[in-house]
Amino acid sequence: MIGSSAEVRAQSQSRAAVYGFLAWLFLKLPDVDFVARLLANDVQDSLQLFSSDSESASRMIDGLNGMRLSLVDGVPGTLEDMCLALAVEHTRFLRGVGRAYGPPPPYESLYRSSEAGEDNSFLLQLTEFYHHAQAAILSESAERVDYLGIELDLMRLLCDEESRATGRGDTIQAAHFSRLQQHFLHEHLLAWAPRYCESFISQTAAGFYRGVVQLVLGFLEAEAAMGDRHSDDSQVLKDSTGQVFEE
Amino acid sequence: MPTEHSQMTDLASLIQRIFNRPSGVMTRDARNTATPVIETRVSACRMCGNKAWCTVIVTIQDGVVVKVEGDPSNPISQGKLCSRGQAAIFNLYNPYRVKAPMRRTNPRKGLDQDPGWVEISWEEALSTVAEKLRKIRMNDPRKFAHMWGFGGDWWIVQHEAFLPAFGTPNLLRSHGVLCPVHYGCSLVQGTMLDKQDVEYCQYLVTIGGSLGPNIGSTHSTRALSNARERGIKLVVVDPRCSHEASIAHEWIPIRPGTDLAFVLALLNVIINENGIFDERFMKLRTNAVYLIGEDGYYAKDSATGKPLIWDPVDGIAKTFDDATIKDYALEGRYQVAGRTLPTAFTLVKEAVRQYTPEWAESITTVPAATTRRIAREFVEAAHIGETITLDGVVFPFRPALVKGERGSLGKWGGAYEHLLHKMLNMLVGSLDVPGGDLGSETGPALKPGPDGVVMPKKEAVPVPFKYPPDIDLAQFYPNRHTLPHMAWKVVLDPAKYNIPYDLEALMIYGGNPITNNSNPDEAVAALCKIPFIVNIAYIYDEAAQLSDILLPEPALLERYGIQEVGTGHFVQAQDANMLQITGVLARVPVVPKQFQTRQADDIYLELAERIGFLYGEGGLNDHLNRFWKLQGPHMLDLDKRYSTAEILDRALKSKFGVENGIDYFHDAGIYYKMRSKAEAYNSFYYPEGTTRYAFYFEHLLRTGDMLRQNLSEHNLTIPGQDMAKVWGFYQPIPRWVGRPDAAACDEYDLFAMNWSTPQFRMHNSDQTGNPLLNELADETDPYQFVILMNRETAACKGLQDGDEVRVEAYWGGCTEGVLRVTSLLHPDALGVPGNHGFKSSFRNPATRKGPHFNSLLNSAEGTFDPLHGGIDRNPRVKVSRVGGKTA
Amino acid sequence: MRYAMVIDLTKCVGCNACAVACKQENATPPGVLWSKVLLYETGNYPEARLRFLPMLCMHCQVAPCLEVCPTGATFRAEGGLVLVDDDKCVACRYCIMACPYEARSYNSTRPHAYYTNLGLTEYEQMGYQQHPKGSIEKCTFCVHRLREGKEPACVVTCPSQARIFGDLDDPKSEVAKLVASGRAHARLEEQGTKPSVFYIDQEE
Repeated sequence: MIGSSAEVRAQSQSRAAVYGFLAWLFLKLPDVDFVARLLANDVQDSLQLFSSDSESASRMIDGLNGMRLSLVDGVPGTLEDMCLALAVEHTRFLRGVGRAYGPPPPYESLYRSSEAGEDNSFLLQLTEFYHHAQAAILSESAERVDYLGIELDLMRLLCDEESRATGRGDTIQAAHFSRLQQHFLHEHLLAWAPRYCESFISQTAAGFYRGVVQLVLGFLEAEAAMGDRHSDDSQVLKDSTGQVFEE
Repeated sequence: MPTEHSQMTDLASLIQRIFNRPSGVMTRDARNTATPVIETRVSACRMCGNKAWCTVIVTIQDGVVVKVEGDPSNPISQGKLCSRGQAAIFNLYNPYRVKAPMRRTNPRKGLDQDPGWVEISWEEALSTVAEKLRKIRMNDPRKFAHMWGFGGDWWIVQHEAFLPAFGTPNLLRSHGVLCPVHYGCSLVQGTMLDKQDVEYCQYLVTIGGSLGPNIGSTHSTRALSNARERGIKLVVVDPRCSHEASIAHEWIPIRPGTDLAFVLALLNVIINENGIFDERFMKLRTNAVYLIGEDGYYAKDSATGKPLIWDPVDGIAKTFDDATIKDYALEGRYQVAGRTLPTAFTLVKEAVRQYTPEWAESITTVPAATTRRIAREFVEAAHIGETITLDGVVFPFRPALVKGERGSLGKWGGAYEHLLHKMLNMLVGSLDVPGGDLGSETGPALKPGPDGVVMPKKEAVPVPFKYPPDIDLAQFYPNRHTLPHMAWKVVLDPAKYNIPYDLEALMIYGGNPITNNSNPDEAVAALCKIPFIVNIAYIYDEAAQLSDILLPEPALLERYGIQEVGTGHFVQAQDANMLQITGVLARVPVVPKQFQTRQADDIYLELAERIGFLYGEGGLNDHLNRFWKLQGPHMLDLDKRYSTAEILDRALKSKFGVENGIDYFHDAGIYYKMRSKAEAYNSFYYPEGTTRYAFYFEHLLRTGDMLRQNLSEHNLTIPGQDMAKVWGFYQPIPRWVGRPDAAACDEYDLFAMNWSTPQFRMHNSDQTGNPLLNELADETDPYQFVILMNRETAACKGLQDGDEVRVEAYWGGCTEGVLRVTSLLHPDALGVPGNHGFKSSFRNPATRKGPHFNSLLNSAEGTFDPLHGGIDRNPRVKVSRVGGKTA
Repeated sequence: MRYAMVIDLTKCVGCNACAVACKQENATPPGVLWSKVLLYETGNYPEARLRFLPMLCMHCQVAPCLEVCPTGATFRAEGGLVLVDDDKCVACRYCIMACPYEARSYNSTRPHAYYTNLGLTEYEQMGYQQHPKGSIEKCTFCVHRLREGKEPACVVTCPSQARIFGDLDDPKSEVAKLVASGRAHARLEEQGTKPSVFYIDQEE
C-alpha cells in the first residue's frame, strides 16, 4: 500500500516517535518543558482540528485531550506544581506503591499469569527476545524486562532501526526489523497491554495517566490494525514456536 | 486507507511537537547474546536476627535465583538451613519493595494519611537529605538522631561511625525494650551475651527462652539434637509447652512473668535448705567471701584499699589476694578493727531466706516440691569436684546450668533475674567451664579490676553522666539496653525531660519502631512530630509511611555485609565445633540489583561527603579506621573517597590477613580457623586464683549511688519516676520486685505472653510479608496468627475455639484475633505469638493478619525495669468475645 | 535397591525447614506442599505436649495410587520410587482418593502467584514450568537429586538431623538397621501398603 521508500521511512519514523513518547511517559516523570509544550495553544488548536472516523485515532485524540485537560482543569499553580502532581500520580499508578489506587502496575507477566496457556515464563521469553533483537536495557534504568515502558521502548528502538535501514536502502535489514516488530507486538504487547489499559480506564477517574493509557490503547489498536494488513509479513513469525525468530 | 495513515502521521508529528527527545532506555548491543546458564554463588544468610553464622548456596538460572540452601562447607551450619533462610528468594523477589527513592508530598502525617509519594532521582533524594542535615549539623548536631534496627545489621559503614563523625550523641535503636538480655552477663562475665555448652552439659534448665528448637535455629537445634542423643536432661520452665518443652524431659508450667520468684526460691533452697554447692568455686572464684561494710560496700584494707576476706585458720582479716591465706570464711560475721563484718555470702543467704518454695508457689503456681526437686537435681547433676582435661588443660567439669532469655530476662525485674541465674550457676561452679554457662566473647572478658572481681563490661558499664541527657535519657538509666520508648516521650515533651532542644531530623535504618516496641500510638505521635524523617527502606512499613524521604535499599542477596563469628546475638546452645571456631562471614552481592536501590553503607558515605564530614581528622573515614581497627596499608586515606566494597575489603584484610579480602568471599561465605578446645573457655585465660565473679553486686550499688549523687548535684529526679522504687533496683542482692501493676483489679485476670515462632523470628527481612513463611505457618501450625488460651480457662469464660476475641491490657492498648483453645498453656496465660497485625495499608496484606502483641505493651515510667529498661512483657489483660461461633 | 527414609520423631522439632527445602527444590506453587510437618497437641494440661507429624509420599511397595491409575501415568521407578508421568496423566484423580496418606495434589489450574494479584515473580516464572495444569503431583524423594547422587532436599536441610535416607535393601545401611531393629515403624501398616517411609516414635 505504501509506495516509496521515503514514505516507508516516514512511517517508521512516526511510529518510533509515538512509541518513544509513550515509553517515556511510563519510564520517566513529566518535566516542565513537556508540560509547557502540552499546554501550548497551538497544540490545543491542532487537537481541535482532528476529527476521525477511526476508533483508534479518536481514542488517541481523546487521550491527548484528557492529558491536557487534566492539567488545564485539575491542577492549579505553576508548571512545577503541575509536574509534582503528575509525579505523584505516576508514582501511585506505576510504582506498585499501594493496592487501592487502581489496577496493578503494567508488567506483562502480571497481566498474563492467569492465561490459559501452559508456559508462563514471560520474563524468560522477553529476555530471549531482547537477546535475539540485540537490544539491551541501559543499566541505570533498573526496570524489569516486562514493564510496559520497556516494551514500548523496544518497539521504538525497532522502528528506529527499521527507519535507518530503509534510509540506507538496506531493505533486507528493514524487513528484518519490521518482522521483529510484528512478532513482538503480537506475542507480547498486544497480548496484554490493551487489557491493562482497559482495566485502568474502567477503574480510575479522569486524569493525566488515564489519558496516557487511552493514548496507548488507541495507538496499539492502530498498530494491530496495521499489523493485520501486513499479515503476510507476520505470518511467518506467528505460527512458528521453537524456531520463532529464524527467518 | 490513506486517510488513516496520514492521520496517524499527523498525530505523530503533533506528538513530536510536544515531545522530542532523542532516545529511551533500550539500546542496540550486539554483545547481548543469549547464554542460558546455571551458576551457584555463595552468600551469608541474614533472614533472621539470629546472627547464626549460616552461609548459603544460591543457585541462579539465567539470572534468576531459583534456590537458596545450606552451605555444606560451613562447619557451623553444616549444610543445614532453617525455614526462614530458605525463604530468602521472596526477600529478593518481593513486589512490595520500595523500588526507587521517594519523596512525601502530603505534609500531613499519620497512619491514616496517604503520603502522596513521588518518585525522585537519587540525586534529588541525597541532596535534599544532605542539605537538611548540613544545616542541622552547623546549628546544633544534637537535633539529628539516628535510629537503627536489626534489618540494618552486618553493616560496614553505619551509625557507630557515622554519628560520632556527624557529631550527634543521639543514637537510638528501634527495638530492644523486649530483649534486654545483656546486663547479667555483662556484669558477671564481661560479655554481651551468654551461651550454653551443650557439648558437655547434662542438666539444663531453660527459663523463658529456647536453646534453638522453638525457632528452629540451624546450628543450635543441631547441637541440641546431638546433646539429647547423648542424654542431656532438659527442664523447660515456661508458661507454654513450647517446641522445646515438648521434647524436654520436663515441662514446668509457670504463671507468666513470675519466674523471678521461682529462681529466688531455687537459690534459697540450695543455700539455706540443702547447703550443698561448689564451696571451692565460691571461695576461690567469687566475691562471696568478701567482707561487707555497713554501707553495703566491700570492707577494705585501710593500707592497700583492697577488699578484705576472713581467714578462719589464722583468725584474721586479710586482703583478698594475700599470699598467706590458708582458707576463706564463706559464712559468718567477723570482728575487724572494731566493726562486725559479714561475708557477702552471709548477706545473700540471709536476704534470700524469705523466698521459700511455698512463697514462690503462691506467685508462680510451681509446686514447692517441684522447686525443691529441681534445686536438688541441678546441684547433683553438676558433678561438683570433678575435672575434665581438654587439650592437656584441666578444667572443672560442671555440666549443669540455668539459662534464661527474653521471656525471663527482658522484662520488669529481668536484670535481677539474670544476676540470679548467674548466682545459681556459680553455686554449681559452672561459669565459663566445660558443660556450663559461657560468656559469648572469648579472651580477656574475665579481666579483674583492682578489687579482684571481673570488671563490668558492655552494658554493665554505666553511661557517663551528663546534663542535659541525650534524647533517650540514657544518662538517667545508665545500664539501659535501649530506650526508644523514652525517646518518644522526650520528642513529645522535651521540657518535661530537661532536654533543651527539639529533634529536627531522624534517620531510620533497618528498624520499625512502631510495630517492634510498646505503645505504637506514642511512637506514631512522636514520628509525626519530627519535622524531617529519612528512612532507608526495604518496604513501605509503618515507619516509612511517616517518613519524608525513602531511600530504597537492596535485598539481602544484593548486598555486601560482614559479621564476625563468635560475636553477636542469640548464640544459644553450642557444641564443641561452634565453640572452637573463630573467623568471619562476609557477603558480596550474588545477583545484580533489581530496582533503583543503594546499599545503606553507600548512602552514609555519600551523605558524609555531601554534608562535609567524610574527610580529615574526626571525619567518617577516620572513624571507620578506628571502628574497624584498620592497620598499616589497610588504613583508609583520610582524604579519599572509598566504596563500601573497598572498605569491606580493608576491614577483612586488616583483621584476617591479605589473602582473606573481599575476593575470597566471591567463592566462600565464611573464613574460619579452629582454636583448641581449651581456648574456647574463658576460664582458660583466667584460671582459679586470677579473677573472681561477682556473687554480691557491689558495682550495682555503686552505680545507683553515683546516679543518686549526680542527680542531686543537678537538683533532679528522673522525670516520671518514683525514686524510692528506682533505688530498689540498684541493690547489691537481687530481690523480689513484685509486679509493676500491683494496683490492677481482678478483671484483668490473665497475663499476656509472646514468643517467636520457627517462621517469624525477630522482625526483620520482612518475614511476616514472606509468602513462603506465611504459607508454612498457615498450612501446618494451628498455633500461629491466633490468640491462645488454656482450654479450661476458656471454658470458664464461656469462650470457644474460633471465637473472635478482643484483648485489652491493663496498661491500655488492645488487639483482636481468633481464639485457639489449647492444653499447651498455663491457665493464667494468654498467648499472642509472633509479630503480626500490622497497620500500614501500603504493606503486604499478609502482614496485617493476626493479632499484634506489642499493642498490649506499655512503657510508662514505673512500668519498666529502671536498670536495663525492660518493660512489663506480661501485661495483665482481659478478654472478651467480639464475634465467632458462639456469638 | 530400595530407597527409604526414617524420620526420627524424638529429634524432630517441627520447624518445617524440610517443607521449605521441598518447596524450593521442586518449585511447587502456592497450596502445594509435597512435604510438610503438621503440628498438633496431645494430652491434657499440664501433661499436654506439642507433637510433630512429618508427611510426604511414602513410596509404598504396595501402592494404592499405582494400582488405581488407569493410564500407567503412576509408575514404579528405580529404587522402588513411585513417580508420575505428566504426559500420561489424564488427571482422573483416583490416585488422590486411593492414597491413605493424602500425599498427592492436583493442579486444577495453572499455578497462581504467591503475591496475590501481583503476578508471578521471576522465581515462580522459572519454576512453575515444571507444574503443568491438570497434573497430579507429589513427593518424588527428589529423584533428580538421587540421580545425581544427592540425598533429598528435606533430608539435607533438617537442622535436627531427624531424617535418615538410604537403601533398605542394604542391611548395612542405617535405615535398614533402624527398621530391622524394630525402632522405626511405618504408618498405617495394617493397610498393607508397605511404605518406604518409617518413623521412630516419641515415648508418650
